[in-house]
Amino acid sequence: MTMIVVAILGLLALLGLPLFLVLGAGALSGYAASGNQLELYFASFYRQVAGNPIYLAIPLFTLTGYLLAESRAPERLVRISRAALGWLPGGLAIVALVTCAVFTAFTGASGVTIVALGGLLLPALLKDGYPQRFSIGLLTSSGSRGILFPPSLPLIVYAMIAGMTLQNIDADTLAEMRRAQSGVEVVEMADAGAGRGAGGEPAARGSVDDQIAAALAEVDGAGEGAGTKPGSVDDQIAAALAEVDGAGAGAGAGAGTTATKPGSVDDQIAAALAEVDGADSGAGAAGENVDRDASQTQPAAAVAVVATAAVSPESVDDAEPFMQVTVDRLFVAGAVPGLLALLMIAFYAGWFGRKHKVPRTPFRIGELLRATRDMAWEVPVPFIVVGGVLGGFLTAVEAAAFAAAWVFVVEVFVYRDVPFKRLAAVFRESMVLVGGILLILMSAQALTNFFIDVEIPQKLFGMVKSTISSPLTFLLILNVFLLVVGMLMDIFSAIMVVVPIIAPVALYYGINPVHLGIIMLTNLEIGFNTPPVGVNLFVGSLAFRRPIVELVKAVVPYLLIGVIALILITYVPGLSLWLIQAFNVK
Amino acid sequence: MNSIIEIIKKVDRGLARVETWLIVFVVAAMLLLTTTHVILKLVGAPVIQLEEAARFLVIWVGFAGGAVAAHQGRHINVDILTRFLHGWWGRVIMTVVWIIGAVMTLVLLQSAISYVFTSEQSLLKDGDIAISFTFGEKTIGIAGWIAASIIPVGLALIAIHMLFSAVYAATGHTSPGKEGQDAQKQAAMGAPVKEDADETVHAGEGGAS
Repeated sequence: MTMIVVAILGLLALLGLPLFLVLGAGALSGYAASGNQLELYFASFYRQVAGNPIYLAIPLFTLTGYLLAESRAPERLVRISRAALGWLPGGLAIVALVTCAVFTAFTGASGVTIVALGGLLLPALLKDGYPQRFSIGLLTSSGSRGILFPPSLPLIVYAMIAGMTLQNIDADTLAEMRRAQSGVEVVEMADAGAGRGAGGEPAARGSVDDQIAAALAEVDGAGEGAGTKPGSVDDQIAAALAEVDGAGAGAGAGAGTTATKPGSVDDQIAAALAEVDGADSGAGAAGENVDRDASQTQPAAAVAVVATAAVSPESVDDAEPFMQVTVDRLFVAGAVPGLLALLMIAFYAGWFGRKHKVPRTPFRIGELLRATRDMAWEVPVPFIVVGGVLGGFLTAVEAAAFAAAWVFVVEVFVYRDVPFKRLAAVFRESMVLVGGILLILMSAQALTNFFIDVEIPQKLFGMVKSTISSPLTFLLILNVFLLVVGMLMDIFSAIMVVVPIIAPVALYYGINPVHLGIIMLTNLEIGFNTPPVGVNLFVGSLAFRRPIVELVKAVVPYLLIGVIALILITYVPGLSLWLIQAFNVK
Repeated sequence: MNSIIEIIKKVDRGLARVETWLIVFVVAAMLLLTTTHVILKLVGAPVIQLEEAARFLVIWVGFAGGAVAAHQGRHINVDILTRFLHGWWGRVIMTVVWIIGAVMTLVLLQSAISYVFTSEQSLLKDGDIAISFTFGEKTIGIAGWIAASIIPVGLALIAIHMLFSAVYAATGHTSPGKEGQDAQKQAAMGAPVKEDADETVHAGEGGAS
């Protein structure tokens, strides 16, 4: 039944049914099936919005971006960047890159940048002698370049969704997470041990012939041992998972022993994983790893894991302060990875410019000063937003309020770029995006509540951990998965659909959710440029009036650079987390 | 038949116009409240209710924006298959999709009405207070059901726009929300294309005149 509902909703989604309805229907049918009141759907949304100021950041920053896009800020931005950076090799290309990144940071939504800046920058690049393919590729891929920089909307939405998902993960789950993590390590050890024990036989899981029998033995009781006996079928792997629930086992070192007896049948592997749940067990932790009969001719790996972590009832937030997801943290975390990706492309552009002997704009201090004076009212905005949050003077919401009010006054009254009669249209267009995001947010939240209710993340993790043992492999598979998601969905739906499922699983693997956010956005950013269906390719094709095939060829170098940056960002968490720790961002 | 469609289009545009004006007022109020809040906080006299009131306005712009999004066919969706839907079949499928969308929205609307107005624990019967200001001895409060009333109203508007979309799809008419949108795909990305936005404004004004 569940599968049928999911399949129908999936088909409707592909046919263009608004995602908020797809997710909402999923949540409602879940609520109905589990006997929950449907009113909860709105109750949790209403309480969240009323209780958390961060929702205000969405309309305020969106309005800021739309006002800027409506004004002549893009022209001014190009002029000032050209005066500052045009003297570099590949100068104008770097100017285009930086301009697009800054602009996207403020407008957030993918596609806006290509349309607003592409028309301005493409002729300039061509006039300066940059080849068409290089220029189009640069501008198309720049359409999502700035989403790692504050105050980009995707950063905010990620922080909200991840925060919402993870705040529901309580002490029990945290205990499970820690236990699971040690479990993962032990499984790895067991695999290696089994391989050795088998004397040249492939690692345990590799020698599966026919069947996998997973025997799940659950023994409820305090600190008792559980013995599981795998079945006696040939060519069989018995993965016996014995869980001893030792909740409320009292204080002291909680230690449990679990013995597993490998079967006496040929070619049999018994991987018995016994877990003792030591939640609420006070202090003390003891882990014991019993690995018996690993040296038998039959590869038998019997593993008993006793992981009784000392967990007092506390939330993830209290236990792991750096695991907490806030908008402020995301704002800071994106800076270094974003700059890294930007620098890598800037170097490519510089190399390209030098190779093709593209003329540079000589640096003139006078022009830079004039351009700065021309933009004097807008230049402070990013500095106040970023500086305010980094320095702790402003929260993200206050920064949003400041930016929106400032940009409104500047564009309407100082520069008079946005006439009064246009305001209604600008307000409406920006709030259409906000409405779209908020409605999905509401549905996603309801769906997330339901997921957590029926323990989907835990179940998913159970499935994933039996096939993916190390966090590194998990990250790699996550990268590939997210690239595909980025190709198929726009950034907001991708975040809202994927994060509630992925974030808890990633947390189980010990991946910091802030880091996960940066990985995810970097991935989606690349996914937008990935043929055949990346959305930037369509927007670029429309904006530059070129066939998609030409754009696909043009973005290849940028895709490759993006992937290298992605690998660095994924496997060096410090890039994302260092600044947060250095500035102790809450 | 055509005259009925014209009437529907007129109603559609008229509703969109009302929604637009609602957005304009709410956004203006939101800007005013949040800016005042930040200024008062910086000078050391914070009035937290200003920001709290603005939070409720998020719900208002959200649902009003959602209604306009339904009018313009710009709700966030995955439109992989729709790119390949053309001709008679495309029309039939889109009609069905919009009808399903409208029905789903009506189901949501029903539970929203129950949450805000009718159920035993509804905001109305619970006497929930969204924000309260105290002036000296007097306390002025805004009831929770007023603050949340935009949820059922917005959903009703979305359902109406979707039903209209089903009618347009079935009869092969262009939705007035999309009329003149040369750069319709750009609009779908949320791009504030100037010409496109202008067109929609004219379309809206044309409808009311």
